[in-house]
Order: sequence, then C-alpha cells, then structure tokens
Amino acid sequence: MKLISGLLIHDTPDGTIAVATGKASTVLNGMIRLSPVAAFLFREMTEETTEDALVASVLEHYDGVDEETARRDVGEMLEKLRRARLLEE
Amino acid sequence: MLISLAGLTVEILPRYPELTALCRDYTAAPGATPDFSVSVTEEEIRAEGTPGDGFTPGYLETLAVYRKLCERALDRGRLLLHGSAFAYRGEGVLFTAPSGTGKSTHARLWREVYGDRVTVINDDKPLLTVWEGGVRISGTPWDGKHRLSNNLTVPLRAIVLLGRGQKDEIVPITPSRAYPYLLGQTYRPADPARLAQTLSLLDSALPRLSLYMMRATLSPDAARVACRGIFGDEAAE
Repeated sequence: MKLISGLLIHDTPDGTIAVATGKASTVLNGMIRLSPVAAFLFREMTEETTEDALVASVLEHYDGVDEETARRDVGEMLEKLRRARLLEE
Repeated sequence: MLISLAGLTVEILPRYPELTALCRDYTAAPGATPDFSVSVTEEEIRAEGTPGDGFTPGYLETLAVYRKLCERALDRGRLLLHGSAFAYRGEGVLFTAPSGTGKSTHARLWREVYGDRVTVINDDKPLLTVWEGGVRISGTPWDGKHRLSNNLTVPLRAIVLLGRGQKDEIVPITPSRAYPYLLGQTYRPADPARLAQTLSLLDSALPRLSLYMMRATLSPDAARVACRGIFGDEAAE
C-alpha cells in the first residue's frame, strides 16, 4: 500500500502540511496539517510499504514506544487515510 | 510583444488579439531584454475551457498565458495571489476572499472614503515579489472584469481575509491561521516541484506581513474600520 499520488509533503515554519495536487486533488481539496508522527508516516508511505514495515519504522525512529502502541497508532492512521480515500492498497 | 510587470520583462507571443489588447498598458520599453518568454499551444488553450461556453479562444489564451507566466515567475520569487490590491499612502494592502464576497466593492469604498490617498494596484490577480527585503505587490494586465490596475509596484503591508458580516470588525491573525485561505487563493501548479516553490514563497512572505481577518458590511464604514485596524494611528480621517 502507499499514499495516493499527488500529495506534496511540505515543512512550513509552523509545522508540516500535505497539499493535494494531481490525483490527490480529486479526493482532497486544499491542505491538511500533519502532526510530527503523521508527517513521518506520510513520508514513509510515499513508497510502496506494508503495515508491518511502518510499525518497524516507528519503533526504529522513536525511542520509548512499545510495539503495541506503535501498531495501534499506525493502524489508526491507516484507517483515517482509508476513510479519506488517500490510501492506495 | 515585450511586457513589463512586477519588475520583470516578459516576451509573450500572442496567437489571438485579446492577449495583445489585454497587455497594451504593460508594454515594455523597446529593446529591453526579456527575463523569459511565454507562449502557449492550442492544446494548452483548450485545456483552460471550452470555447463557446461564453469564452473565446482568445480569452482562454489569456488564462493559459498567465498560468505559464506565473509558473516561470516562481523562479524569480514572484507569487500570484487572487484579490483586490491597492496602495494606501504608498503602502500596499491586499483583500482576498472567494469570488462574490465583495473585495472589489470594499476596495472601491476605500477609494470613495480616502480619495487620492488610495491608488489601485490590481483588482484581480496581482503578483507579489518575495525578496530578502520584504514583500512587494504589483499590478498586472490580469486585472479583472473592470480592468482596474496600474503598472505599479509598492511595498506590501497587509493581507486581509475578507468575509461578509453584520458589522465591521477586523482582527490580526497568525501566518498559520491565514495559510489555508491563502493557499486557496494562489495558483497551485500541478507539478510538485513548482508547487513546492509556491509554498516556500508563501512561507517566506507571510511572517513579513500584517495579516488580518475581517467581517465587513458593504458600507463606507467598513473601509474606515479596516484602515484603522491596519494603519492604526497613521490612518487619517
């Protein structure tokens, strides 16, 4: 799975945003603000990946996170993306 | 033909007479060296819309050319923002809002209330120049249905996000608050690299400007409230 194409991930002085262009603009009008974790996951998902690989990335990147928490957070993010039609599976 | 806008000299190659007529007041000095050249294909013109839906191919060419010009101008720190811009005592103010909100009307109210303290810059699609010294705003030939613009560049002081209201009130807002609105009022290229340039220019510009949100009636008092809100004690009655 991966993020729908056309989502530009951009760091502004006030945080990271995703702006829709191309295919993404058919489902998202404008921009969304990303938390630091969401920004991290979005960047991981610009290439084809799996839920397990995302969990492993989170565990590697963030200290003090246990696998259960990482798996839950990744799962919630993927579900949000699915509902928003931003996920290609 | 060579045109001069926002400190740039641009060579344009019109296919239709509408574009030549549109740019008539922005002709550059003969022999000037162009910063870049813009021309569009018939396919690019058709991509702007269907001739016959009230739009001539010549009108659609003016849209296609401005789109391309704005993309090239990103390389030189120029950013398109849709809105009505004017100078008050030489300092630029840009009112931006969805079409039909009343930004042109609001700009006209400023002219009525403040007379020759106000100079029209551009009533539709001005260009911002973002540079290390600040932000400037310029007139362009793409100046709306009433053809209101001057080929001028002034320092930009403020951007106001305008909405209709039962009473007139203006409040300062942060760049973060303004960002989604202004993103909706700029030209967003489909090419990710060009879009990234656009966003970077917005990032640079906004902290250098005073930003406001305003609810406005369409009475002359709206101009007075806005002017006091932006210029404070400098505002003359």
